[in-house]
Amino acid sequence: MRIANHGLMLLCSAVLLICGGCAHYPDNPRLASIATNEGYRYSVVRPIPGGDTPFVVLAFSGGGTRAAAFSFGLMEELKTVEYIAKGMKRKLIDDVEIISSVSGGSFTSTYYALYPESFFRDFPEKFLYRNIQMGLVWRLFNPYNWWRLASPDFSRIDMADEYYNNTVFDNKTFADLVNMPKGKSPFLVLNATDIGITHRFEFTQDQFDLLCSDLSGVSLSRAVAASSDFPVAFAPLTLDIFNKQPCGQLPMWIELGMDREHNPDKRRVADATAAHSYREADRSFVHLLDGGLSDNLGLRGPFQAVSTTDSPWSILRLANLDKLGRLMMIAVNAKTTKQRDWDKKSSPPGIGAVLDVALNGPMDDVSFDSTEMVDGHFTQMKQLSNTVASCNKRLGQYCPAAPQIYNPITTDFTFSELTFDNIPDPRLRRCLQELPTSFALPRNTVDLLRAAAGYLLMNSSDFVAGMKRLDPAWQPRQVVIDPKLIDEVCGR
Amino acid sequence: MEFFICPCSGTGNVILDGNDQGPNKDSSGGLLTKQCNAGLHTVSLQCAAGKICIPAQTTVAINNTDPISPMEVPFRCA
Repeated sequence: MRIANHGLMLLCSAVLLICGGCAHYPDNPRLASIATNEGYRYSVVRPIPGGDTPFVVLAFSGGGTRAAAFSFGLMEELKTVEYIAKGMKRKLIDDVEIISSVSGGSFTSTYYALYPESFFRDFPEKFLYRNIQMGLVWRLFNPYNWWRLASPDFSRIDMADEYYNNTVFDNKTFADLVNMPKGKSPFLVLNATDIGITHRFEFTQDQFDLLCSDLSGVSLSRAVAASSDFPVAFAPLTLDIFNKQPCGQLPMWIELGMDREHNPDKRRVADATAAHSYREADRSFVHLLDGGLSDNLGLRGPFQAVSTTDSPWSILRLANLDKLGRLMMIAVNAKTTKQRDWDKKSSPPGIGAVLDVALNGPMDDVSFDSTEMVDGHFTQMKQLSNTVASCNKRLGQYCPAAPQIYNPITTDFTFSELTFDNIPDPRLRRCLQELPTSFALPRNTVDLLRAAAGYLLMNSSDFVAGMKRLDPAWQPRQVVIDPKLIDEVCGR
Repeated sequence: MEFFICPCSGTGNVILDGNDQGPNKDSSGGLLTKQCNAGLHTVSLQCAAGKICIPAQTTVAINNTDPISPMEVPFRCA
């Protein structure tokens, strides 16, 4: 009898293990042939801008629910910003063309791109106030998932993907974004990191062309899961590469960019080499982790777009087409700054503290460089434009018969970064800078982050100056953060 | 940032690495300076209907330019 019972148990275990072993991540579909007028691309989902309204690009950083709430606060504030152009009142939020995001910020950007009309009403309850972390942990306690996790092709990130799909993104795919009326929602760029080549990976059809895969059949939750796939907590997320059957030529710039001799910009060579690698015979899969590992601000893609014609959604190309009168870029940076007292004693910090520095230190450094790159580029463009203007002025004074020099830089550039470092009240600043990175924050903390974003936007000197150049009569709204809310979250 | 122009007796659209960058001249015939990133690029000029621009395509390294003296990538219209 005992032997029979053991046998039955063994049989059940074997059946469950076999079933579990069958669990597989959702495969991204193959693309038979590249069609540049189809799929989730900037040119497909956005009309060519007229050039007479601001071209607004937003970048949302990583940082769990802290980042999601902070970027939500920016969107709330943008909704209130109105200006007059050509005698017509417009809302700045309607000028948002592109949102590039990473990790926690990707939940906000994706929900807005998917539901621009119900976003402000639904997103806080659906995500910001929800204990996502607990939901993920509960799934780990479900015995059904233990067997699935035994499979080498199913991991914790695939479980997280399912959870986000069911609870936040309603089983929507990129096809749902493609099928929306053109121009209804901004172009969404979700950033992850391809750990095989340590390079930024974006969920756009242009990127999926390299894999010969059709992004339309990929769920939005999967892209968000990849973007927020925090190392160690989750395993890397896998995508299939279908390079065994040809689907079409690579974009021309990739072959050109790989020529080391004639490309002084080593970043171009690196980007071209990375893009080319997806067609190499020895690559069959892509393994992705959190976008923050390569760019925790979501600014690298927009930087490539404004400074090169190589980007598949090149903003520089719009300048060449004379469709970029005004470019406004706003980066929402939810980075924290921890106060450490390690240097007061001789004993070194423990393993937890060292891991924290190892994971976050380089990320903060790269983010700092990214903001400097964008800011520096805009400054350089203004200087070049001013140089041509000064030259023409001199020509007019000393050589009036000479023809004026054509000035190709006619864009007005504005770059603003929202960061807790710019909060003047030291108590509030310190309180926000020390918030944890998690997918569960108390309701009042979420509300404080929302209010802080509004305050920072209206007090950003760069943003205010840009708005005044757009509409000289525009005035920033007075935003006061409720002192009671600050007391509740930060203590008295 | 790099700058280039495509002088030609005719008017056409500048195609850089396969992507349209707009016309090479303005409505009064003045050459329009185009912007691109530094490095190797393939440039062609898509002339108005019935005309052919020569060469059909040229590959050039566009480096060390400025908006006052953009690189010339010349074409002939036939």
